[in-house]
Parts: sequence; C-alpha cells; structure tokens
Amino acid sequence: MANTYALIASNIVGSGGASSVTFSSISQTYTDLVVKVSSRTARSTGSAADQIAIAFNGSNTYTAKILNSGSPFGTPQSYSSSSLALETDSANNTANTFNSGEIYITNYTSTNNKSYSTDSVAENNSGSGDYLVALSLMAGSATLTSGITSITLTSTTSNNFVQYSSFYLYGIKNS
Amino acid sequence: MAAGATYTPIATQTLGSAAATVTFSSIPSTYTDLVLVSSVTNSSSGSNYSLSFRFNGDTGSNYSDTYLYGNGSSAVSGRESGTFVNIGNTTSITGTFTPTITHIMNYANTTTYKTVMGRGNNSGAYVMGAVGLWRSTAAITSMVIAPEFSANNWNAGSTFTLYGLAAA
Repeated sequence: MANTYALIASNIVGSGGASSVTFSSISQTYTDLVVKVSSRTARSTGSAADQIAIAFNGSNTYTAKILNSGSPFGTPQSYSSSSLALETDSANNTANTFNSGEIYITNYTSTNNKSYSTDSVAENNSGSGDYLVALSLMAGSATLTSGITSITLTSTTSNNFVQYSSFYLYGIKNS
Repeated sequence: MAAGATYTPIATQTLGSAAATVTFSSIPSTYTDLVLVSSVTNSSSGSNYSLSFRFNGDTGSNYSDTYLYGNGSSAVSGRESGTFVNIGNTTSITGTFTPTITHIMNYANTTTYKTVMGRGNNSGAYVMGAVGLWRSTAAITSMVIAPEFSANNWNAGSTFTLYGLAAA
C-alpha cells in the first residue's frame, strides 16, 4: 500500500533552545504538505503568549484572513494580515504548556500561488491573563509560483523555541 | 500496519476543463471516515461561492449547516438549511486556489445521520469553519460537489482528492 501520509522530517528542540526551525530541501514528490507543531517560546517579557512567523522559500509576506478568539477572549474577531503566524505558548504561560498547531499547504509544487490554512491554539491554566490564550484559524496565500522547497518557523518576538518544542513535516500523496 | 496506510487516496480528480460539478461515486464502505482535500477556483466574476455537497443523489431539503467565519473585519456565525451542505468558501481569483479540507465521519454506517466538518480558506475573502448535517441514515456511496449548485463552474486546474481513513 502506498505510504500517502509520510513523515518527511522532524525537529525536536534540544536543551539549548532554537531561534528558528527550518525544513529545507523539501522533496517535490508529494501533493500536499502538513506541518504539526507543539511549541513554546522563551518570551517572558510582558504578559502575553507568542506567535510563530512562517516563511516559505525565505519569504514571509502573504495575504491572509484570520479568525481568532480575540484578546481579551470572549469576543471573536477577524482581521487581515500580510504575515502568517501561528499562536504559541510562551514562558508567560503556565509551565509545561505547549501550543498545538497545524499548517496545511495544498499543491505545494504547483506553478500557482500557494494557498494554505493554519489552525492553532495557545492555552493557559489560569482564569486570568487574557493575552495568554488564543484560538486562531487562518487562510493564507503566498505570491510564490515556484515549488515550496523550504519552510522556516521563528518567534515573532525573536525569542527562542524552548526545549521539547516539536515540529513534524509530513507529505501527502494523492495516489 | 505501515505508516500512512490509513490515509488512503480513494480517487483524485484534476479538472482539465471547467465543470459545474465533480462527482465521486462507488465510494467503498471499507473506511471509517472520509477526508476530501480540494484546491479550487470558481468561474464567477469576482464572487465567492461555498464548496457545496450533495450525497447519494439526494436533492431534497435534507441538509443544514452551521458556520463561523472571519472576513478580515468581523467574525460572524450563522446557520442555514436547504438542498445541500455548504462547507468553506471559494475564490474566483485566477491563479490563487482555495484549499478546503472536509471530514465526513462514520460515513458508512446505516444508523445515524451523517455529519460533515470542514475548514475553508479563501485568503481574499473568508476564513471559515463549518459543520453540516445530511439527514439520512444511508451509507454515503457518492457525493457531488459544486459551487453552491449555481450557474458557475469549477475552473480548470481545480483538484479534488478523496481519502479514506481506517480506524483499524
């Protein structure tokens, strides 16, 4: 049976942390790509969680629509953005709490612009701290007509990913 | 079981020319759930249309859906009922295809109504989550997908892949 949901690469952050995570030399033999994220950053200033910026082939400029739980939470909101980001927990969140996130990229080898979706949550084991929790759905498009060969993830506040943050890249084949 | 053996492509369609509908038929009942991954544009002049589903040829008023979307300025939720289920939202922008991922759970059972859950991602208009219901206990053996069964087509280059997920 064809291996249609295949692990291409993984990156689990070690004890020193990591300023970024990059998947490079991505094979062009799949139909879609999926990145699964469980992350936390070292951000400790202020009282907020953090976000992850995503770059395809070194570019991180996009057209995006975002729907999220809002800050303060309880009031869902939507906005447009020119950057793509996942919500992630930070050092401001409850200890040992990591986000869950997924990036789905269809037809990543095509000569059309690249469209994708992200789902992500950052949670906090506390009733306070509105800016520590977030649920986000995103629709994005990159003006990129070459195949995606690299994906780089970084904290939007330039903080490191902490130990045990994990990133898995899967390839999906339609035949 | 080999890795990935439960995410099996059942069929894929890449449109070589515009088509009003796309049909998957003779869907085997051997999986637990179905996942449809689509990447489409519609033929309208600047309008956005949902990815709409009918099952087993049923054109009756047996469908409903509830949705939550953001258009870049506000978050909106609502529900509707009618002769098809709407999941997601698609663009007509040339060269920018809309990915939509739709899950159809327990599709082969003959006891319960069928639920559908999906994420639509039209970066030019809406980001959307939706759930739908087909009020039938029949096993799903076919589905037709159209841009709201309007007068518009799916454009050439649109792709649709139906995967089967097996629990064991």
